[in-house]
Amino acid sequence: MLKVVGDVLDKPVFDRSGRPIGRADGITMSIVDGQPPRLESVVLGPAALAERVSRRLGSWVATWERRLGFAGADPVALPFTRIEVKPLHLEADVAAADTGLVALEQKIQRWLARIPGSR
Amino acid sequence: MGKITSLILGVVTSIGGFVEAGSISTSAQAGAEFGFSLLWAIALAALIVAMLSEMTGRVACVSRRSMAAAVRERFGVPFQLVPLAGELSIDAVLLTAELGGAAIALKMLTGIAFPWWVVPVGAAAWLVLWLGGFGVIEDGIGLLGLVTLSFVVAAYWLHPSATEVVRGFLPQLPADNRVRYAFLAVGIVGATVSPYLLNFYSSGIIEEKLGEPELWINRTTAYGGMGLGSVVSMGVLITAAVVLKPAGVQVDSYESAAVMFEPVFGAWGTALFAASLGVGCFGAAVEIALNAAYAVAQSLGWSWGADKPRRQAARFTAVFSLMLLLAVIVGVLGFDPLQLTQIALALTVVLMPAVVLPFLVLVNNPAFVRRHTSGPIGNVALAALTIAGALMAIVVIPLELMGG
Repeated sequence: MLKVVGDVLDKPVFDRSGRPIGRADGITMSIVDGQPPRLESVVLGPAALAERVSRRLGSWVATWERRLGFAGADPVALPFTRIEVKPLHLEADVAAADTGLVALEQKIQRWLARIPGSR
Repeated sequence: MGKITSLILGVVTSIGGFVEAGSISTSAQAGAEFGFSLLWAIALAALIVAMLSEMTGRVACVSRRSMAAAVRERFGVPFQLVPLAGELSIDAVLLTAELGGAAIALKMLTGIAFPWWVVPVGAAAWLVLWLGGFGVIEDGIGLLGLVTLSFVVAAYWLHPSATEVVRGFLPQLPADNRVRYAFLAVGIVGATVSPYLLNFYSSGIIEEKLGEPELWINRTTAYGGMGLGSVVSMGVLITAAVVLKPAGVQVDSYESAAVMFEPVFGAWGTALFAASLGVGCFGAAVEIALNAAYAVAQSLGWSWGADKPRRQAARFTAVFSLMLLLAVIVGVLGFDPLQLTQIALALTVVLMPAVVLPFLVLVNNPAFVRRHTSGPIGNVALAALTIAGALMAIVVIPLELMGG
């Protein structure tokens, strides 16, 4: 049986090419009467992470992400059907660049490319 | 590289990387004010840091998780926030203090005021991180740090009384200045058991790809390296006790501590002290900046690693760059590095339970260490020492600040 806390939540998440895209900052579940709870998606992103600490902090982080103009500002929810749970990490059947989760990384990469000795 | 070579290099670089601003200043102050009587604090701190390093290394070898990653996965974000924020705050203050220490070393050599050296030292630290891989950063700086063995050479040449040195390993309360004595004992522990050292150590295990079969390398490096490294701190204390205490010199600046080398090394004394201080502080600055990047990137699941091309781990690179920038800005303002060091050490001991206690849980969880869980004696001793140290710090620090 899968343990949400322990096997999924807070595990590192890699895209299909093995690139790290973050950690499982949150999850969404559906609850239908008479049925066991169902894990719908794994949620990633600073706002989802901040929401774990407090709801107000989560909305504050989301607001600032939008103001700073980062693509994919809202938390990114990856359907659990596209997630494979590995012993040490989660593997998502997505490309990092399509999710918006690496927008900041890409922006910094462009800045770093201008510095001499960049590799 | 062969495992034996890797082991020897690990131990040697641990010795070279052991002393920095905190350990030099606290050991020098302890020796100058209380003679040999605080040697026990260095031995105790070395034992604690060796035990903790071995544990963090064991978790890293077996689970492939660094300390920061393991704490997040086991306890979740709301819990991790406290030790992580604490660690980053200590890193920021200590990084400024280390840059300042290296800048003061350059001031001793050139006579140019230390704030002028903060920017070049910060830039040099950033260049090492920008251009160097883990081997260059860890081994190169550790080997350069062997210059700090000059403290051991000085202590040996000064022929201290063997009986008094041995007596220094037995805890004893002095007749007066007890608050100051306890404050320095707390400071010595804080200087040695830095959270940055522990996460840096566990990240290094992963960088060097050590696994479960190499647990013996981890054990030997942790106990051998930290144990022998503490001999350098003891060298600082003994030298200060023999030279500074009889002369009534109070170590209220690094310059005043430099006098301790003169009876042994003569005209070269100040230069050698400056080299030891400079290399020790510079190496620590590089490791602290790198550790801040490790801690943030590992906690958030970003790409990280000193051996990765910097653009491939862009956010990791951004964190160590921003940490250095912040430290340089504060350093240029001219804050006294010695005072900053003492603030960082006090913070370290107060926050130590938040860092150490979760780790005691991890290192007894088979999900992280399989069958390599810790024994009850080590667990209880470490938990008791950590809590006792923090309680002592909470009592002693305000008393010291109020003038004893």
